[in-house]
Amino acid sequence: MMPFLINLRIAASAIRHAWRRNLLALGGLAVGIAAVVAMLALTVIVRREALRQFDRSGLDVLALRKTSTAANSAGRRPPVLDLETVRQMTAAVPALERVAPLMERRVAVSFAGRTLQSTLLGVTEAFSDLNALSAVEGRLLTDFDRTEPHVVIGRDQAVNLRGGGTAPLLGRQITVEGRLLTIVGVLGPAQAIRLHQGDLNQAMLLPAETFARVLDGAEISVIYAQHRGDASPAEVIADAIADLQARVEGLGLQGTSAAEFVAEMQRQLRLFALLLGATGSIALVLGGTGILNGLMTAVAERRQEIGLRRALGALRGDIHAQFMDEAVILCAFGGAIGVPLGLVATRIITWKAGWECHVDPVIPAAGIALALIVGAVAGFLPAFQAARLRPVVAMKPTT
Amino acid sequence: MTPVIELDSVARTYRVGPVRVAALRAITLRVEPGEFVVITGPSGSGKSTLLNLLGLLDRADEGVYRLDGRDVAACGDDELTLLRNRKIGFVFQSAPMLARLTVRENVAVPLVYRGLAPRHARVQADQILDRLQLSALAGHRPAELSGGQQQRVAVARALVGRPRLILADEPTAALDATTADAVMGVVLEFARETNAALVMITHSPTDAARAHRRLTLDAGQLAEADAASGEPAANARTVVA
Repeated sequence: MMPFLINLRIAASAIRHAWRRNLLALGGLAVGIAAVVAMLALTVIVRREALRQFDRSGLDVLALRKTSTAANSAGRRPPVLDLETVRQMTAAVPALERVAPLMERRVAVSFAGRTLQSTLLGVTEAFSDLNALSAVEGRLLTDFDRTEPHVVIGRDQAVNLRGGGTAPLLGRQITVEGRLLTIVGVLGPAQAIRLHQGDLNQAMLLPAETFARVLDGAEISVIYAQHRGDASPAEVIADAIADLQARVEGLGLQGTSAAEFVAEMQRQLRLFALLLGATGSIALVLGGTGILNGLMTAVAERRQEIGLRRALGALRGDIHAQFMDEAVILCAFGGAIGVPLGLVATRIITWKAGWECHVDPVIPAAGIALALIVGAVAGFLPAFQAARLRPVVAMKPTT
Repeated sequence: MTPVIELDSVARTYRVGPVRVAALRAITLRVEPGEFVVITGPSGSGKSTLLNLLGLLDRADEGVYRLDGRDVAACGDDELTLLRNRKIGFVFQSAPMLARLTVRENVAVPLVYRGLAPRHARVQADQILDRLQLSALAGHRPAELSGGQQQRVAVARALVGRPRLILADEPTAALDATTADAVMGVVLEFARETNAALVMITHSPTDAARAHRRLTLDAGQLAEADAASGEPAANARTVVA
């Protein structure tokens, strides 16, 4: 039995003996550690999630949305953005590599004697490329479809059209505004780029020209575009808007880039992490203060024990180590409770948010390390005081 | 032969508020190896202060204290602790124990602090417990022991390191006559075997009668006591050598 083991035996017994006093401090510490672990884990998860959402399309995509304009409010005919104007953008703005205009309208669709509501999207081949779409039946739309009365059905809409059955859809026709459109493909599960604000699984895709022909007053509401990786998104947006406004008088556009979107997500994430970190820090400070208080009380209560051990040969360092051991063991308990709590909180938050929950093993280890650091800091003062007690003073019975 | 204790004009003064109280005044004392010295005196005469100084639990303000030939004034705190651990065995009046350790561990603690291997410390603790007929209690906690048993464990702990100096503060005060006699018997026998010096504070005439020398402390001054009455002798000196 080395002095270290004596310390551990006494520490374990002392902690057991004063468990009521330690419980509150441990609770605060555990909550603090849990908050910090959750903060660290979520910071990594959300960053990964943000990047994952742009993984397929990359960070080099942007969106230009048509806004209300002065021309509109003045009661004049609103400016119209046509396909030809959009197609010329790649020539006018060299940093643009691909441009995908989008028309959108929610309409009634008739099929096999039934009518259902669906979102129709007028798109070009570039839209499928940008969203990495794939067909599980038939094919995707290409630029050769341009004016053809063809339609590709989103996964969920295909289920709706089949009415729960397995009837083939390819080659069959739907009716939109009295026009017949032939189904040439069914999409697989689709996740649109993060900048797109709709569910492609619930949509039906038509060639943009067909869309304009079938639906009166159809116009482009959004332009998605991919720019060169080395170009500044803000500059590309400014150039693209300037180009379009030069060619379409009175056109109002608002640009958003994926990079800006990620930056905004990260800014919100930092704020969230800051709040979580602040909460965790307060709980940690409270927990650490509780541990410190408890140990100060223990030093006062165990003066005679300290004096006796000093009389029997314990060095100041042995006594110091005793109380440091107790603080660190206590805080290790706090860590052992707090880390799983933090991981459970992380799992619940990610489950609610629909994010992938993958926690780096470094994070629980960091939680335990933090608990030990809090223990070392909280234990230092009581340990210092205990070690400085003169044996002759400590041995005196307290009245 | 080097005396175990050599005090030369040692004084200890306490400050109580603005007042300085002289607890010990110019104490000169020499105790040889194997010698048994009893110190008596009224409450507040400075007996405990003297024992604390002799046990290196406190420091003198003036004078020189040589323990086994070493001037302790030059020692730092850790050196004093090591010296205390290697040279001195304490038997305190109230037999304080480390409540969280077993009897065997309590007895082994001084050896552990001395750096002895755990196995050897346990063996030596068991030997001394056996000698004091406490083997059956080795695994018990101090709280499970009677007052007499605790005092015998405290004696075992004081003797286990074979100290050069045994300091005892009324070790039999709380014991019945039979137990007190047994405890004193073991301590004296051990001191004889190891040639250790024994300095004991006691009010027991029986214990005092066994001593080689009897000293009295009164108002911080040490003097030879009258062998018959225990009072300071008519020719008492403050220098006791």
